[in-house]
Amino acid sequence: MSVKSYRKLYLVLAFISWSLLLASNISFYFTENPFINPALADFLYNYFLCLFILFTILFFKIEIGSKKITSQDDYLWRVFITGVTTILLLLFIRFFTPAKIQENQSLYALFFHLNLGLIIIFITSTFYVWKKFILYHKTTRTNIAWHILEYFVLISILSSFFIFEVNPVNLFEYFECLYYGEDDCSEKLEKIYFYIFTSPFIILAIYLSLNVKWIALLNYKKKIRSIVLIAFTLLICVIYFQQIYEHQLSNSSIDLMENVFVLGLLVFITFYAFVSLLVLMFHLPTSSVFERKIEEVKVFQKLNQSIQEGVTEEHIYQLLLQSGINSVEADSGWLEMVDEKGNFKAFIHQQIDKIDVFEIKKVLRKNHINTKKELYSIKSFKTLSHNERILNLPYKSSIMLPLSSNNEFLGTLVLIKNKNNGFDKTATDVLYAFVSQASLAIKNYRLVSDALQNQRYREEVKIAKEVQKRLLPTNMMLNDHLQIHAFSKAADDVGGDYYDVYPYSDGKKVALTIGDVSGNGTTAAFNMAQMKGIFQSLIQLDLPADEFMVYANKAVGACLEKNSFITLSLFIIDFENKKFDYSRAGHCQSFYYSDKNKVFTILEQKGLGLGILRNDSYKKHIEKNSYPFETNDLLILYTDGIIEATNEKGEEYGMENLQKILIQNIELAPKQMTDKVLHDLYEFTGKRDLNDDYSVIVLKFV
Amino acid sequence: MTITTLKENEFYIILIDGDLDASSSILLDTTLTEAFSTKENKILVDCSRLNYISSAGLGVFMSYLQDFENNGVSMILYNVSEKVKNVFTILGLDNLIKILPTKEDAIGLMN
Repeated sequence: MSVKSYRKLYLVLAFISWSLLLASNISFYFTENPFINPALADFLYNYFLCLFILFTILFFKIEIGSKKITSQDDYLWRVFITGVTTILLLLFIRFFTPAKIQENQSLYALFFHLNLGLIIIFITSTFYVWKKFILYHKTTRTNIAWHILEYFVLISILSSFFIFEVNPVNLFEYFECLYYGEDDCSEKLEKIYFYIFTSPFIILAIYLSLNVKWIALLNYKKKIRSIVLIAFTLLICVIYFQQIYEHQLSNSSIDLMENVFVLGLLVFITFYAFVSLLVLMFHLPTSSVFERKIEEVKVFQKLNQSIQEGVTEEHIYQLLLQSGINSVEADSGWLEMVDEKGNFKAFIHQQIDKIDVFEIKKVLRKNHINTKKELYSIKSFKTLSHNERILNLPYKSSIMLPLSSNNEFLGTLVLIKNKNNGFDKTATDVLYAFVSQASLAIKNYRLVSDALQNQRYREEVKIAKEVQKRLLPTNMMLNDHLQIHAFSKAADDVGGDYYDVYPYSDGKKVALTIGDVSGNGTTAAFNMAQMKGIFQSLIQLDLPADEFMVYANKAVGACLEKNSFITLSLFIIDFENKKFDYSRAGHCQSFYYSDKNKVFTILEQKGLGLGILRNDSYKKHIEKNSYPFETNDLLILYTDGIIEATNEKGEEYGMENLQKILIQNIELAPKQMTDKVLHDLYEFTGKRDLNDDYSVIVLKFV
Repeated sequence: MTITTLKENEFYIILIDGDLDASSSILLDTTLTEAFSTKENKILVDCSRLNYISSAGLGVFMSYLQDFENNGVSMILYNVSEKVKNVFTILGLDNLIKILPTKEDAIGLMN
C-alpha cells in the first residue's frame, strides 16, 4: 500500500472514531440506557477518544512528514490558518451558541466534540510542523531525542483513561510550601507526582525546543513574516490554555485539564513557538549580513552550475558582470575577455556607454595603468592626469580586476561607482574572491568545451577509420588461379597506403595495384580515397599499364596539392597468355619469385611518382615491362613503411631483411608468409606501432 | 632539424642538418620560398647531414620543380647519402633533380 493510501485510510479511520466518540457520548449519557454499565460506557468513550487521537497523529505524521520542506514560512502560514480557524470556531460556538441549543443536549454534544476534534487537529498538526523545524539540518542526537519524545506522546494518549492532577497551581503551591519551610509538604507533594515522573521528558522537550536552525537561513522579509505568524500562533495557544483552564472543554466524562496528551502537547508547541519567536527577534538585526553572504555564495554556486548546464560562454560573462556589480553595489561596469591566444573575445558593458569606456581606457593608457597583471583601484579619477573629459562624466572611482587562471590572462572586470573612494577593503576582498572563482569557472567552462570538442573529433576520426577500411578490398578470392593475402596498417587512425584489385575480361585479366600517398594522417587518407576513384575509373578503360599511369598522373596532378604525390605499382595479370604487365610509378620495387627456377627477382625499372611532373612530359618517365609466369610463382608487393621501419638504434629494416625473410619462407602460403614478415619486422623494431603506414601483399599463382 | 643558409658568390647554399620529416619539411618549404622570392637562381643544397627524408620532404623539393624550371632557377643537391639518394631514385626524382657527389661538381655544372 502506498503512503498516499495510508494517509487516506487514517483520515477515514480518524473520522470514524470521532463519529463513534460522539455517538457513544450521546447514546450513553443523554438517553437513559439501562443495558450499559456506566463504567463500560466510560471505558468505550475513552477508547474511541484514544483511537481518534491516534489516527489523527498518524494522519498528520504522513501528511506533513512526507512533504519536503521548501519554505518555512509556508508551514507557519499553515499552522496559523489551522489555529485561527479552530479558535474562531471554538469561540463562536462558545459565545454565540443560542440558549436553545444549550438545551438540546445532542446538538450541544455535537458542538463540544467538534471543538474537541479541532483542538486535537491543531495541536497534532502543529506538533508535526515543529518536527520539520526541529529536525532541520538534524544531528543523530536530535533525531534520537525526537523519536523518544514521539513515543512518549503516543503513550500519553492512554492517559485519557486516567485522571491526573496536572494543574500547575499545585506545582506553585508545593514550591511555596518548601520556600516558607512549612513542616508538612507531603500532602502537596502527592499532587505533583505527575510532574516528577514526567520530568525527563520535559527536559527532553526543552532540549528539542532549542533546535531552531531553520531560522538562520531565512531572509529579513521571511523573518518578519515568521515573527508575525508565530506571535499569532502563540496567542492562539494562550486562548486554548485559557479555555482549557476554565474547564470550557470538559463534559461529564472528559476534562482536557486532566488529559496529559492534550496539555503536554499544547505546552510543548507553545514553548517551541516562544523560543522560536525570541530567537527570530534576536536574529533580525544580523539577517542583512547573513543575506549578503548567502547571496555571494549563491553567485559562486550559480557560476559553477552554469558550467554544467551547457549555457553559452557569453551567458557566463553576463552573469559575471551582473553579479560583480551587485556584490559591491557598483553603478556601472564592463567586462572584456580574451581567448587562449590573447585575442579579443568578448566585450559587455552595463550602465555605461561604449564611448565612455573608450574615454576611461584612454586615460588608463596615458597613465600607464596595466590591468592585466594585478588588481588596480582608482579612488578618484580626479587624481589621474589627462582626465579633462572624464571629469564631466559621472564616474568617480573604479576598481579593475584581472581574471586569470594558472597565469593565463582571461580578461578584465572593471566596476565603477559614481562616488569617490567607492571601493573599500571589504569590497575589494569580496571582489577578489569573486573574481578568482569566476576565473576558475570560465577556465573550467573552456576545458569542458574543449574536452567535448575533442570527444567529437575522436568520434569523427573513428568514423573516418571505418570509412577508410571500406576503401580497401576485403574479398581477395578473385579466381581459381590466384591466392592473395593483403595486410595494411596505418600509423595514425587513418593512413595513405592503398591497394586494390579489379578482375575484368570475364576473369581472364586481373589488375592489382599498390600505392602510397605522400605524408600521412588525414590529408593522406583523403588523397588515398581520390586515388581509389582514379584507379577504379581508369582501370575500366583496359589501358596498357604505362598508359594507365600517364592518365593517372594527369588526374593526380589535377586533384592533389602541389607538394603531394602518390607512388603506385600496377600489375595487369593476363591468365590466358600467362604473363603480367608491370608499371612502377615511383613505388618501391616489388618482388617476383619463379618457383621453377627458384629465382628471386627485384622488379627494377624506371618510373616517376604520380603528381610530381604535372605536364605532358610524364610519359617519358614511365615504362612497362611484361613477365611470363607459371604456377606457384609469387609476387610480393609492399610499401616503404616496411623497409623504412626503424629500430631503437635508428637502423632501417631495409630491403635486405625483407628479402631474407621472404626467401626463408618462400614455400609458405601467402597468409603465413605475410605473418612471418610482420613477425620478423616487429622483432626487428621491437614495437608494433610504426611511424609510417605499412602494407604487404603476397600473391601466388595457382 | 635545422636549416642554415649562406651566400657564396652567386650561389645560395642551403645546409640541411637532421631528418626531413613531415614537421621539419615546413621549414625547408619556407627556406625555398624565401630563396625563390629573393630571386636566387643558383641554389645548392648540402645534404651531407641529411639522414632521412620522408615523402613530405620529397614533396617540398618536388613542388618547386615547375616554378624553378619556368624561372630559370637551377637547384643541385650534393653530398647525398646513399640511403637518401636511393629514396630519390625509387621515386624517379633523380631524373628531375640533379644530384651530384660533391660541391665542386655542383658548382662546376652550374657554371
